[in-house]
Order: sequence, then structure tokens, then C-alpha cells
Amino acid sequence: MTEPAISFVGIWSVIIGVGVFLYVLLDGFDPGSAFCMASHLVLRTAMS
Amino acid sequence: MMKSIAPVWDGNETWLVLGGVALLAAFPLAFAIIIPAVYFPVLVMLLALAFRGVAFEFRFQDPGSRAFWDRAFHYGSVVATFAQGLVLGAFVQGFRVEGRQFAGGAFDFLTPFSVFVGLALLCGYGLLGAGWLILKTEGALQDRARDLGRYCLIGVIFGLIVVSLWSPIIDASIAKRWFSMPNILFLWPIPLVTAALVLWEWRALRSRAEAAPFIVAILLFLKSYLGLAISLWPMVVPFHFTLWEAASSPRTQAFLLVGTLFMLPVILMYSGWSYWVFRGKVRGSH
Repeated sequence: MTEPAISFVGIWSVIIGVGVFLYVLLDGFDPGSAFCMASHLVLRTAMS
Repeated sequence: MMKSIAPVWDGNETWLVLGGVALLAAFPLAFAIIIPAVYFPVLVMLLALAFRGVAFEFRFQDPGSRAFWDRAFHYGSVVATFAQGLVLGAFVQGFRVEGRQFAGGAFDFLTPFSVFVGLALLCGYGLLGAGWLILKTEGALQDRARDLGRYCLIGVIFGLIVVSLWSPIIDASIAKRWFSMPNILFLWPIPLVTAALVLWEWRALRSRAEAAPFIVAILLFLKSYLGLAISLWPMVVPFHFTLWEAASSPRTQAFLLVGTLFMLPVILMYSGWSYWVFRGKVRGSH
């Protein structure tokens, strides 16, 4: 079996690059929301 | 707050699995070096993500202890985010490599730079989260998200400045990439775009805008991601192996690509569909 003539490194770089960005983005706001609320809880505890 | 993320939060982990498997299959040398270097923070992140999942389910199953599980979810999120920041910081600062193997210690990842990136990522995710809450909620919670978003933005500004100054010191190739001729002629608008986005975000958080804080936070993340790519390109194991040097054989990549090109549209469609179905404001206390 012969190797394909074209390289797929560029395509895979894009797939992983976009995948990592989407993970950071989509999985960022929900712990981010929780972080906001955690900050709020810490501040409220500290002030009470 | 929990209602705003309940329909979508677990589906996002698909991208984590896809990224890990794709790295293993398409760039096995990178996987073999990077993963052993960051075993500890990745393990902590996965445990925190699992802990978040457990806490999220138990808060519905055990209403009497809801406050406890809410706190567990919140602090699990903080740990997972900080661990991701440690991984990112370790990646940017590079790894000790001998031949084609990781040659460092289990805690090489733990440096002032990676800890700083972890804290900066907390502010970044906090900004995204505040934008999401502004978009999805209303009333007192939305107002609180605006206040917290401003604090997070101050942290993000500080983080962007420090990382921008610190990373060229880590490796001369990053300094050369940004400050040598003719690169500087093409790259000088990037700091200006960043400053404009920061200003836009600040104004959006101070106004009554509902979508702008989230959209501009996404643009800030995109800009930071592109900045990182510019700094490290074409390295996949900074500063040892390029994407081409770490790649699997073209035949392996072609074989995997067939399956991936079937799966990616499916993942994109069901992710997009779930956000579309649950669009709009959430209401209610839980």
C-alpha cells in the first residue's frame, strides 16, 4: 500500500486547533459562571 | 445560574475527548511528550470535571443538601479551570526533551509562569461566564454578573499584559517572531485590536447591553488564541518539534480523517441544536 501523495498535517492542525478553541470557549463559560458565583459566595462569606 | 448551563455543560466535554484522541492519532509524538509532562494537572482537571458532574447531579437528587452541592460544583469548576491554566502555561514554557521523549520531572509544569497563567485563565473564564450570565439571566443576578465581569476584565487586562511581556523572555524564538523585521510590520495591529476589544468589553459591561459582553469576551479569547498560535507556530512541542515532525504517517492521518469528517458535522450539529433549543433567558431560582 502506497502513502498518499498529499499531506494532511494542515487539515489536522485546523481540526485540533478549532476543537481546542471550541472546548476552551464552550467549556469556559460554564466553569466561568461557576467561578463568578464562587467569587460571590467568598465575598458574601467574608463580608458576613 | 445552574439552569443557564444545565442543558449544555456536559456536551462540551466531547471536544476534550476529540482533542485528546486527535492529538494521539494525528500527532503521536506530541501526545507522547506533552501528556507525561502534564499528567498531574490533567489528572486534577479530570477529577475536578468528574466531581463537577457528580455535584451537578446530586444537587437535583438531594434538595436538602443543595447548598453544599452548589459549592462543590463551584469550587470544582475553579480547580478544573486552574488546572487547565497550568497545562496551558506548561505548554507555552516548553518541555525538557531528550531524543523523542519527555525527560523532565513530574512537577516541571509547576512554575511561576504556569501558576500565573492558571490565575489569568480563571479571570478569563470568569469574564466569559459573566458574559454568559448577562446573556441568559435578568434582574439581580444579571447585575451581579456585570459587576463580577468588570473585576474579571481587570484581571484579564493584567494577565494579557504580563503574559505578553513574559512569554518573549521564555524563549528567544517568541521574541524574534514578534519583534523582528518584517514580522513587526504585520503584527503591530494586534496589540491595538486587543486594546480596542478591552475598551469595548468595559463599555459593554457598564451599559445595559445583553449580548455584547459575551460576544466581545469570545473575540478577546479568539485574539489571545491567535496570539498564542503566532508565538508558537509551527511548533506542536514547543520548542522542539514542529507539526510535521510530530505527525503520524499520511496513511494513518488519511484513514482517521474519513471517520472524523463524518463525526465532526454530527457533533457540530447536535451542539448547535442544543444551544438553539435552549436559547433565550432562563427563569426560576434553580
